[in-house]
Formats: sequence, C-alpha cells, structure tokens
Amino acid sequence: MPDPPRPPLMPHIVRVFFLQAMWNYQNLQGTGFYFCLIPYLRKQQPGVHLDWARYHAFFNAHPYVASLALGATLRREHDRPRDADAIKEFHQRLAGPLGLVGDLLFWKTAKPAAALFGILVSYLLYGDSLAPLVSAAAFLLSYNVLHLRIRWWGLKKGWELGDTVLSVLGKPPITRELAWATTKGALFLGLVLGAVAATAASLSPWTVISMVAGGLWTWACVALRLSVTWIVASALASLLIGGALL
Amino acid sequence: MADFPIVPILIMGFVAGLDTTAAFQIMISQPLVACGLLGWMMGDPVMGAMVGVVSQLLWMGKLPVGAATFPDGNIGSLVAAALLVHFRDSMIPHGVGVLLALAVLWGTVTAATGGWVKVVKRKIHTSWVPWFDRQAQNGEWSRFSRGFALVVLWNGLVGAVLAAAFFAIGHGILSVVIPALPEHIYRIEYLVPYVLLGIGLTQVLILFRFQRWLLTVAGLVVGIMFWRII
Repeated sequence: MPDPPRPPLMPHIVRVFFLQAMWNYQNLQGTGFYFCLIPYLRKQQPGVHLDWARYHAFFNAHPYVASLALGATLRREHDRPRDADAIKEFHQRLAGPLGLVGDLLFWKTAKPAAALFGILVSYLLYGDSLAPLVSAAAFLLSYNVLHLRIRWWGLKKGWELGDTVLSVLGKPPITRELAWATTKGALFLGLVLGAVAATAASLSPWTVISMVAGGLWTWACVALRLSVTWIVASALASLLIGGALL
Repeated sequence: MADFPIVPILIMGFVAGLDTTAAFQIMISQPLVACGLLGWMMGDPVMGAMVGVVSQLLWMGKLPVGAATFPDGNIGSLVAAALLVHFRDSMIPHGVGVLLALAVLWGTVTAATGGWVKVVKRKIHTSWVPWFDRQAQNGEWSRFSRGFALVVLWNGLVGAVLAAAFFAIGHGILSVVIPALPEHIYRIEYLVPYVLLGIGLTQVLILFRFQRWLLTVAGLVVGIMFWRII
C-alpha cells in the first residue's frame, strides 16, 4: 500500500526545538512532546478524539533523535487514530533506545569532536583577533550541520516507518555518522594534545609538569568517582594556597 | 569598560539558560562560543575565548543524560569569563594566570549551584504539570501553547538571574581578594592554564574511552611536530 500523503512537518520541527523546556519529574519530556503534537491535534475533527490528554504522558529521549518518535507518533495517529491505550506504551518503548543512541552519537562523540575542532582552530589562529569568532563558527557549523540534518531526517523517517521506526537505529546514517564522528574526535584530540604539549614544552619544564600533574590528579579523582567540580576546585585551591604559602 | 557590566551578563545568561537544555540546543551556550561572545560584548573577545577553551575542556565530560543532575558548566564558564575580563586590568603588571585560577574556581562554585538550581527548577515544573494536563484534557491548545511559551521564557530568566547574581557575588569577593594577594603568588601564574588544560584533556581522553587510539597517537605526533615547526 502506498504511503499516505505526508502532513506538513515544518510546524512540528519548529516546536521540537523546545522539547525539554518543561522537563519535570512527573512525565519528564512528556509536556514538551505534547507541545510538539499540537499542530496535528488542531487539525482533528472535534469529537473524533475525546481523550486528548492521552498524549500528555511520560516521554524521555535524546532531544535531537526524539524527532524520530514524533514522526512515528504522527504516522501512528494517522493510521490508527482510535488506538488510545497503545500510545503510552508506544512512547515508552521508543524512549529508551532513542535516548541511548542519541546520547552516544551526540553527547559522547559528535559534540566533543566538534568542540575539539573549534579548539584546534583557535590554536591555529592564536594571536589573531578573529580567532574567537572563527573557532566558535567552526564549532557551531561542524556540529549543527549534523544536528539539524538528524532532526529533519528523523521526523521524515519517523513518519515513513511508523511502528517500525526503531529499525533505523542500527543502520546508516546513524552508524555512519557515529563512526565518522569517532574518527574525527580521536584525530582532533591527538592534534590538540600535540599542540598543547608542544607549547607547554617551549615555555618551561614546569609547565609540562603542571599539565601532567593536572592529568594524573584527574585520573586519580575519576578512579575515586569524584565529580569534575571537585577535581577542578581542589586542583585550583591547592595551586593557589601552595603559591601563597611557599 | 562599565563598572558593573550587567547587561552583557544578563543577555548571555538568558541565552545559556535557554540553549543549555530548554530550547534550541544549537550549542551557542557552550563555553567555546558563549565566553568569546561575552568577552566581545565586554570589550575583550580574546580573553573571553581563553576561558572558553579551558572551560569547554573542563566541562566536556558532564553530559545531560536522562534525568541526571549535572553542574551547569555553561553558566559557570560565563561567570568566570566575565570576572576575568572585568578584573584583567587590575592584575597589571602581572599576567592573568592567578586571576584565571580565581575566576574558574568561582565559576566552579557557580556551576555546582547551577546544578542544584536545575533540580529545584524541575521540581517547580512538576508542580505545573497538572495545569498543563487540564489544558490537554480540555483541548485548550492555545492556552497550553501560551503557558509553554512562558515556561521557555522562565528558563531563560533563571539563567540570566543566576549568572548576574554569581557575577555580583564573585565581583565582591575578588574586589577584596585581589589587593590582598601576596606578591610571590604570581610565580604560579604561567602554570595555571596548563594545570587546567591537563585536567580538561584527561577528561576528554576518558570520555573517548581510547577508541581509535592509534589516530589519537598519530594526531599527537603530527601536532607536536607541526607546532614545534611553526
């Protein structure tokens, strides 16, 4: 059977940027998800759906990949508008996998890779008054090209696949982008490390020792499961107190 | 330079309050971008960007995953950048290393408090859910949307107030501390950026879990060679 005509997705994609604004401990992103569905709900005939609040339920996923869930929900509602009981279960089934994949792709890989690229650019342009602007632009561009593409692709693919939307998670473009971001991140990390190590070594042995000490302190604290707040605060406090006393 | 640069801090705090999680998430609130922008508004983008690079690495490992509570490194970095730019002239004839340590230390306190504020904010949101549920039940979508728009605005305002309040307190503390610093403390100033970079880069190494480590080693070698030549 051919796919039904796709509803206008632009009003939904605009709203999905605000998915997390009402994050709460009752339905997590559920209120934001309902907000994203409103353009579709407005078009329904009065009386077709009586229980409008059934959409206002638990939902939690990665904010970018959540557009897959949004597209799939729109398709499901289009195909089976009176299937009221199943909608909450459907949301819950989508939430876990979409959260995991989005966190891995964006928070743990693509964002660090793009940030390292921006830092690398700022090192390359060191001393230039335009360096802050160019490095920020490099970071924003390299990150948001992927981010915006996945948001739009997710909404379209979600509508196209409906119930079977989770099948896209183990395939390109998700897997391809993850592999590419991992490669870029590993390379940029090495280049930034090299840049920092070379500039530290050109100043004095003490700068190299300081950098290594900072790294070892972090390893030790992470092994002891101490937070980054504690790591930074304790290192700086020790440095300042040591500098003042010695 | 204004005596108390409240407007740029309020603007960037508002942006960070929105972009961190509430809206857009296009990363304009990340330290690498936001601190440079704030520095530019306050008259010194290079100094702002210096805090941005260091803070970006420091807070990279803290991820907004699920319902986890995480320090608000974006607001903390903004406050640190504002303090560094604001007090840079008072460090003459010394460099800004010691000031960087003090500013980032206060930024860390701000970030930790910001994490706690986020929890309180989410609890407040929870108390608003029944109102939204009633609008949803009645099909009052315009009221639902208007209420939601106010929540978006509220997120930005919380960020702006947090940034301004912590800048004001940090300003008061540094105004007393800086003149009282002993002269010999400035011996450590060139070490501060490298201690922070060591902490930040190690966190990124841990975050990447040594995946594709051969590429990292190759990048390290190329990076050292390239920067030694130039």
